[in-house]
Amino acid sequence: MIRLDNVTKVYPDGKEAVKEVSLEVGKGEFCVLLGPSGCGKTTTMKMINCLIPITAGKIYIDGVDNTKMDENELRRNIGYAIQQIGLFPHMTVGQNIETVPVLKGWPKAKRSKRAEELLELVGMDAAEFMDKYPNELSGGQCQRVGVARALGADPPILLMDEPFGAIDPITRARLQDEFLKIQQEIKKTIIFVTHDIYEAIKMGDKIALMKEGQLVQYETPINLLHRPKNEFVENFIGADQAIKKALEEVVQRRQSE
Amino acid sequence: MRHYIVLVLLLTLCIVPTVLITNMEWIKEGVYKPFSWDDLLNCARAHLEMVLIAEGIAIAIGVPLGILVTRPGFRKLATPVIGSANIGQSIPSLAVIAIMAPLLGFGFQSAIVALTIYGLLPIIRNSYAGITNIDPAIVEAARGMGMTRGQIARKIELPLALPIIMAGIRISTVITVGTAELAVLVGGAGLGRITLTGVFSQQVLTILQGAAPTAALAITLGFILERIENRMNVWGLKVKAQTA
Repeated sequence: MIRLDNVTKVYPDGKEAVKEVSLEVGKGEFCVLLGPSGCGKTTTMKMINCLIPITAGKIYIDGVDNTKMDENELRRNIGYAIQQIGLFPHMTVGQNIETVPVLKGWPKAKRSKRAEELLELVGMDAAEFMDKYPNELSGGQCQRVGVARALGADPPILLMDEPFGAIDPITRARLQDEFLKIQQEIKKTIIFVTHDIYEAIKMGDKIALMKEGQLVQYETPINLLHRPKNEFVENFIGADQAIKKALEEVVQRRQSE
Repeated sequence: MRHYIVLVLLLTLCIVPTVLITNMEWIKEGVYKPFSWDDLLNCARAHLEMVLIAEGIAIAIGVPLGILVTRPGFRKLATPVIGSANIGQSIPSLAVIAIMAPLLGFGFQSAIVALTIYGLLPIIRNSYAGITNIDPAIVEAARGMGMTRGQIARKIELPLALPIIMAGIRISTVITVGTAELAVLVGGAGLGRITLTGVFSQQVLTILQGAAPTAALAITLGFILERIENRMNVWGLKVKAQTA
C-alpha cells in the first residue's frame, strides 16, 4: 500500500510543482495520475521512489516512511518503466530484463528463467529475442521489454510514466489490453502516469486528476465521469458529448468484463 | 572486404617506394645515397616509441580528465578544460614542438611533452562527449531501478562511452604519428630525421624515404585501433566521433 500525506515539492528555482497532495493506493490497485502536462504528475510519481526529494509531507510504503529506507534498496523493490524506455543499448534483451535480479544477487539460473518467463508474459518469444540487442527491436517490442524489465525482480509495486506513450495508436491499444490482462494475473500495486483520458479510464481502478500541482479529484473512472467535482474536471473529460459517449463505452466494457 | 582492399592498396603504395629507395644504394652506387636499412628501422622504431609513450601519457591524462569534468561537482570545469584543450590544438604543431626547446631544452623529453599536449585534445573531447552524449533516459532508468552511482558509471556510462573514447584515441594516435615527424627539431628521433634531411638537402627521394613509412605507420595504427573500436561496439551504437 502506498500513502501520500500532504506531499509538496518546491524546486530550487521556487516553482511549486506539487502542492499538498494526499492520496492512498491500496494493494493491487491500479492508480492513474492524470492531468495536463506540467501538472506535477510525474514529479509526484518520482517522489515515491525518491528520484526527486520531497520538500514537505511524507510518503509511506506499507506503512514505512520512504525517506527512511535505503533509496537503492527501495528502488530495487519498485518496478520502474518510463516513456523513453531507457533500455541499455549495450546489453541484450535478456541482460536488460535481468538488471534488477543481478543487482539483488539472484543466481544465474533463476535469473534467466525469470527473464524467459517475463518475455513470454509480455508476448515475446524468449528463444528469439533473448540475445537480441535493443536496436534490433521495433518500438512496440522495446516497450514490451521495458515493461518486462520493470517486472524483473517481481516487485510488489510498479511505477509507470506513460509507458505506452511513444508508439502508434494501434500498437498502444494492443499493449494496453495486454497489460490489463497481465495485471489481472500479477496484481501489482501500480502508479501509472498519463495525460490521455482514454488511457486513464481504460486502465485505472482509480484516477487521480491533477491540475497545477494540486489533486483535483481522486475517484473511480465511472464516478469521475458521472460526478465531476468542478468545471476543470468536466472540461478535461471533454465537454464534447461524443467524447463522453466514447468514454462511457469504455467504462461499460470494463464493467461487463 | 572493401575495407581491406583499400588498406592493402594504401600500404603497398607506401611500402613499395620505401623498399625501392632504400635498396637503391646497390642499384646506383655513388649517384644517390639513401639511408640504410639499419637507419630506417632505427628511425621507425624510435618514431613508434615516441608515439606510443606520448599516446600512453595522453590517454592516462585525457580519459580520466574528460570523464571527471562530466561528474557532478566538477561540471563547472568542463568549459575551461575543453576550451584550453581546443586552444592547444589550434596552435600549429610546429609551434607547439618548437616552443618546447626553450622551455625544456633539446631532447627526447621535450618531444614527448609536445606530442602529449598535442594528442590530448581529441582524447579529452571524446571522453567528455562519450559520457555526455548518453541518452539521459538510460541513466534515469538505471537510477530508477536502484543502481548506485558507481554501478551506473561502471556498467552503463563507461561501456556506452567506450567506442567514442576509442575513436578519440584513434584520431589522436594518427595525428601524433604525423606530428612526431617534427620531433627531430627539438632533439627527438624518429622518421622525421630522414624526411627533414631530405627537405634540407633537397633530395626528393630521401623525403619520400621518410614520409612513406610514416604514412604506413599512421595507416596501420589507425586500422588496428578502428578494429578495436568496432569490437567494443557490438551492439551497433551509432558513433559520432568528435573529430579534431
